[in-house]
Amino acid sequence: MNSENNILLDIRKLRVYYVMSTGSVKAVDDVDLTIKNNEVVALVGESGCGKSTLAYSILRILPYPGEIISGEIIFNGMDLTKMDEEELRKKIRWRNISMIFQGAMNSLNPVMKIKDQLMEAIIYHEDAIEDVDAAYLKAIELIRRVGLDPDRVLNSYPHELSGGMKQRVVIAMSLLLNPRLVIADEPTTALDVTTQANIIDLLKDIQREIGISILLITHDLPVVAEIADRVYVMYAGKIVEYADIYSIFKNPQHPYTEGLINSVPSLVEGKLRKLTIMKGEPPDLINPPKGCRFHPRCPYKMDICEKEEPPPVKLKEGHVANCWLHVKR
Amino acid sequence: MVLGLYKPTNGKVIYKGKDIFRMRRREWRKIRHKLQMIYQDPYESLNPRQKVFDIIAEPLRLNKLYSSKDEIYDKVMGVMESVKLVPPEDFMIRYPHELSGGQRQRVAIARAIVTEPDFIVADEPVSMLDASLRASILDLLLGFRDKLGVTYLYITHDLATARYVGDRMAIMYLGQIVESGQIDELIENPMHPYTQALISSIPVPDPEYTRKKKRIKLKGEPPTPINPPKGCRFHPRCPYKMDICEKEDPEEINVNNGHMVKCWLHIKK
Amino acid sequence: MTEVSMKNRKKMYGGRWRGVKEFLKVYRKNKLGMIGLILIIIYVFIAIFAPYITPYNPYEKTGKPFIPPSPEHIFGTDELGRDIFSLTIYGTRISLFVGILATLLSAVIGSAVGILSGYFGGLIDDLLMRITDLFLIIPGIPFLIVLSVILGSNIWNIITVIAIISWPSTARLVRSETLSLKSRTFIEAAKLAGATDTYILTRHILVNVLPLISASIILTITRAIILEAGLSFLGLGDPTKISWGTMLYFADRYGAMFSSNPYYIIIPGVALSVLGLAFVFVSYAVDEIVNPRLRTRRLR
Repeated sequence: MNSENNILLDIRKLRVYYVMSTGSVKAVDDVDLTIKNNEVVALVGESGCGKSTLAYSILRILPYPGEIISGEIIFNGMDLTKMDEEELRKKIRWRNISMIFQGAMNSLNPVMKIKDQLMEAIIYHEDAIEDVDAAYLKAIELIRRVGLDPDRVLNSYPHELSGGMKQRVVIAMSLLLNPRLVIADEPTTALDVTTQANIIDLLKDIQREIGISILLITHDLPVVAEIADRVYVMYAGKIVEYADIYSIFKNPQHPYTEGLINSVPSLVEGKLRKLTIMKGEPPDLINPPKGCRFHPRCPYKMDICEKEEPPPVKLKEGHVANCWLHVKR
Repeated sequence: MVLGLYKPTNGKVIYKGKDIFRMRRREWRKIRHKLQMIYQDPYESLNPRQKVFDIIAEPLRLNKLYSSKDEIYDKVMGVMESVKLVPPEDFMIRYPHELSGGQRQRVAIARAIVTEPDFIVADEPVSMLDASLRASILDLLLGFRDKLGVTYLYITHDLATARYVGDRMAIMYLGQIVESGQIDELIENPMHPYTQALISSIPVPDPEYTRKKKRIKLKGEPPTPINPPKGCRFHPRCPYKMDICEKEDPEEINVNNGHMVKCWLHIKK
Repeated sequence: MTEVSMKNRKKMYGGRWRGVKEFLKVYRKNKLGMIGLILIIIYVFIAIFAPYITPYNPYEKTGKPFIPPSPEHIFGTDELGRDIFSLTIYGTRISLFVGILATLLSAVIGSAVGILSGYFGGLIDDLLMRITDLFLIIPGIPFLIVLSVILGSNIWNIITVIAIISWPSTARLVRSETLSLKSRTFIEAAKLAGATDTYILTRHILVNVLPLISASIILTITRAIILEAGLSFLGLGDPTKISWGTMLYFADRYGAMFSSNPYYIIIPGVALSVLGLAFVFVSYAVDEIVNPRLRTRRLR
């Protein structure tokens, strides 16, 4: 297969800064990321590492004072960073790339029926739809697809639904206009354990069935293990490692990835699993550490780590880590 | 409630052989500092206008555990060192908003530990923290168990963490304990349908394992505890529901050496 | 050990004013706020040093009535031949005095009611809030007029009357903040540690509502100063004291606007407006700094 043609989203050398009087927050710094068609990519990192900023910059909905400084975001051959607002709205947002926002289930309008909220999204993109009735049928179908009863749900107000049901509605909304990429920002946090598992299953099923791509943004590694095909690990505004899901979990090559995976307790192994205790805390992104940004916390720190930024090292096909440990000299 | 903040409708809380709700005030005042709590949200549990030193020293001052200021000072410094807020001289004059989430939680732990309690209720103490910081906090808590002999009641929805820190576990559904026992036994051999479903829904950080395992899907979502279902409270969602489950609340029975289950499936008639 | 600990303890208390310093650092960047603050400082300075600034004793006749501005009387004289400039300067004293005292009184009542009501809840809350509602729905100005007629025109009565109609809004504000504070776990933690209600109220609640109270104080001062002027303008002021309001009252009665000296009405008017504006600037600036911190509890 020609892998070039299979690429849906290609982010190249993206820098997104929050420019403030006290200094720029380098939330996304020189990031490359690709998503293929029909693929679930997880972007993993701790809070404040820039993962949500990356998602917002794809849709170009960065909160003030965020700014794309340089780089390209190629979606389907179009550079989103160069597109004007009108074109973005008409062609990209929701129609091609939709988003499940963090906590979206709590941001449903409390005084509107679910039906009207779904229709609002459709009507807002009127030019995309020839027939509003057909759109309504589509809404019904989607509600059914996410495992809800349309008769009951469409005429309800958000407060009449449980958290899990609201999250399903939000997922249905994201699928309304047949997007090719859905960005899901922490879609399972704030749900209880059993509901969380159901939502993961649902996302997995829908992705396979409709054949969309998902960019899953989360800090929850077990959830990633459950659903993702490939994983990007982000630390302090940089991608430190990416690989397919099995390599990441079985054979992590960046010390940060290793630490992150080994610091999560596992239900299966219980006390037998020795958790890694990472020292220190994530740096602030106004003045990130020189050289490798992870060096102050790294157990394998070498002299060069403090001075120079490590280059990406290809370990095998599709597995890249930015770490001096793997640079042969 | 366990710590005497709210009065129960019924029942007793017994600490060292005495019901804490029947204790005399003076008696209660004497033992109160032996029972402590660590909260989930370190952004809520610290007074934003108090300095770290005062936050940690407060329980000592209120309970008049030390008479001299120097003693309090030394004690607080020692505790700050033991929770790794080092050097303590730098941290003691800071306000909570100048600390990171992990550091705040360390302050909260220091406040709980400073009175040398023998019992601490820890309510989801790591759920608001970043993954890379959780392990160190858990380690800290476990360290106090080994060094000071603290007993913890660790409240969580995260079974994986529970298994890592806990010895025994009780599973609660709608205000009732449905199963309890040694933690390893409970997770490897769950008897109650709710526990089984819960365990099967937990994702495991191992893609091969987690994708192969079978999940028990529960229908519906937990009802409110205002009007719990009649009989066994779990029956509307239970995959093995029998007639009796709708009518009578099952007794708790001992299935194996302290492994308690509250389910009709295991009651022999 | 002891010596080291003493040194450290000093260091600890040295940090006490850090919050205030931080506040000033942010405040300094707000231009309008700085203008307001400087104006207020000028007014306070004028009030304190009034006898040294004024060329004449404002209670004495120093020229003919209604002289237009001249080198001797830069803003002319009033109907009794008193110097307008000197009168206005002395008026600053009463305006500020009444404004600040009435506001402090209202802040004390309002905060006490708000904190007690929010913290204890239940019957106390119901009772205190109904009383607050009662005072809140009374139409302010007519009530003021009636009350000051009954109580008589002296400066202490005016202060009391203004405080009575100002406290309910502070009480409301403080109560809602107390309610949100009460639900935070650090209060529960303090209770657990054995803190009494009084301890929690003063050490935990009060210190946290203090920024809100100070913001509301600044806003209330503006209102109080204008209310005092309004009352005096209606002739309900203390006739024995010079305030901008009483000046305006007499200026109006003697038709100063159309007399040979319109400055009689303009000067106290301008003095009043500028001071009002200065407080409004400051309150906006304070609001901008204090409120986001109250509302966004966590920034991650």
